[in-house]
Amino acid sequence: MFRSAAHIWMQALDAAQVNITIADAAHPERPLTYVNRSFCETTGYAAEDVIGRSCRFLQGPGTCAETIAQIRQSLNEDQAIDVEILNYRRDGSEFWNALSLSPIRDETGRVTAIVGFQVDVTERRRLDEDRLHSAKMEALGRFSSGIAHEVNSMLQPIVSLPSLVKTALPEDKAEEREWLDLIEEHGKTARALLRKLLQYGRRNPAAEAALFDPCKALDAAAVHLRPACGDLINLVRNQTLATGKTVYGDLQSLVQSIIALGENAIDAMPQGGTLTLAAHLTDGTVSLSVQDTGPGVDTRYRHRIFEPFFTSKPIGLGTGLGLALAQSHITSMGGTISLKNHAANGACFTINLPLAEPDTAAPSPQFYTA
Amino acid sequence: MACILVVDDIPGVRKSIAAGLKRLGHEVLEAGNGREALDLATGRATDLVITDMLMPEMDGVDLIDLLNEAPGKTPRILAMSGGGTFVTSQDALTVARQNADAVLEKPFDTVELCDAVQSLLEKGAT
Repeated sequence: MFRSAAHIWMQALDAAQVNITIADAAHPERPLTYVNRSFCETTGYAAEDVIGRSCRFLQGPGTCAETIAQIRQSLNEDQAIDVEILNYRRDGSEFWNALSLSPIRDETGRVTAIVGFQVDVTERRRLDEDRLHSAKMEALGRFSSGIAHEVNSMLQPIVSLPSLVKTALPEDKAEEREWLDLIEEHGKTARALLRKLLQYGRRNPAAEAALFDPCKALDAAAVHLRPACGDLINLVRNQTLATGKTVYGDLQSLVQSIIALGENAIDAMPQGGTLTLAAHLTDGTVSLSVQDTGPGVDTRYRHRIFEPFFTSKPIGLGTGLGLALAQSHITSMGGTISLKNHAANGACFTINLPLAEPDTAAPSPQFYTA
Repeated sequence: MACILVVDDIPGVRKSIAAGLKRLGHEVLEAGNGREALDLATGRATDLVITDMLMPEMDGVDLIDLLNEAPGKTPRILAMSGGGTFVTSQDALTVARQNADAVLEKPFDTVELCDAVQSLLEKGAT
């Protein structure tokens, strides 16, 4: 009777749609003593590969160290804990794991095992992040267009008067001339930042949308990026995409997006390196990529790089708007933008856009509006 | 030398623009909104009106309309805007582009101003 009940319990655990694990609490490493079928399906590991091992094999470079410490502390104090943690499947791919760990006590109250319930919440988190991103963009759009008129007007004398004063200065006032240059330069930097901000607030860029050759965007971006490469960076083109293909959207927005990626790539290689601009066509998708040979994007930042105002650059060097704006542009064209770090080859950002045939209906783009 | 009317509700903006224009030798008049601008322009040969779009009392759109309706030669219109939206939610820069002969996005430097003014004055009043 008992064996049969236990058998049903085991079958129930195995049939569950959530991942279930049981670990041995008596051992300091807390090795797994049981994983159910769902756990194996989610993680790609077979039960025999993981039984006897600590659950740490699910962690990877992007896993938050604070969350790990939090889990460890709770387990050391025999407390239950609920967290969301970035874990890795056997094939190295990431997934967000909503993890609930509870201690199991024997009749004396001693913790003998830890039961874990895990749900893959990657898709839910992606939707949450998309919603948050849209909300931030919307707020930013409202805010920037609200202040733009006033601040731009305030900047007018700062940008226009220094050059007039300079012409009135006697020849020997070199230092004062430099001060005026400084005022003008800073005024123009503020202007550039505000114009970038305003791009969020502009309504409906669909007005500029048309069919165009994506190679043109890459050409225009390359022309802009070449001087910034200087002597230290080699700008390389790698293109199998034939000219004459078309995508639908705003050409200038795509050019700006590629430039933003290129400028980040150049900033990532202060000692020099290679900047590769590539264009390929696969199964009706145009892929434009910008690859550098710098250190790659720090895995701690990988999930945040498209957030408006997020920057890993030193104060004053990055606005945190380039990638956010690029993502907004590319999404509005019905495309995607993604990052891949190459172990030895730096970061590679890829823009994927649906190929549009001139005689087909244009895709309906989505816009962040103020 | 031309007669140029600069219209903006912020005195510092008017002054800084007027300073550049005076250096070029132009006669400059200043107004704080569309209504003041109309009063100044009436009965006077104005070659160019440089106007902001969002202003109290009378905005740039109404000013441009009334200047175009007035009898006699219509001055060239150079609209300027720092962005922002009208109460109708229309983008001020977009409206400026639809209504004026040329548009400058604030803030602009003296070279941009001089180039735009020069090019409009060469076309002359209509």
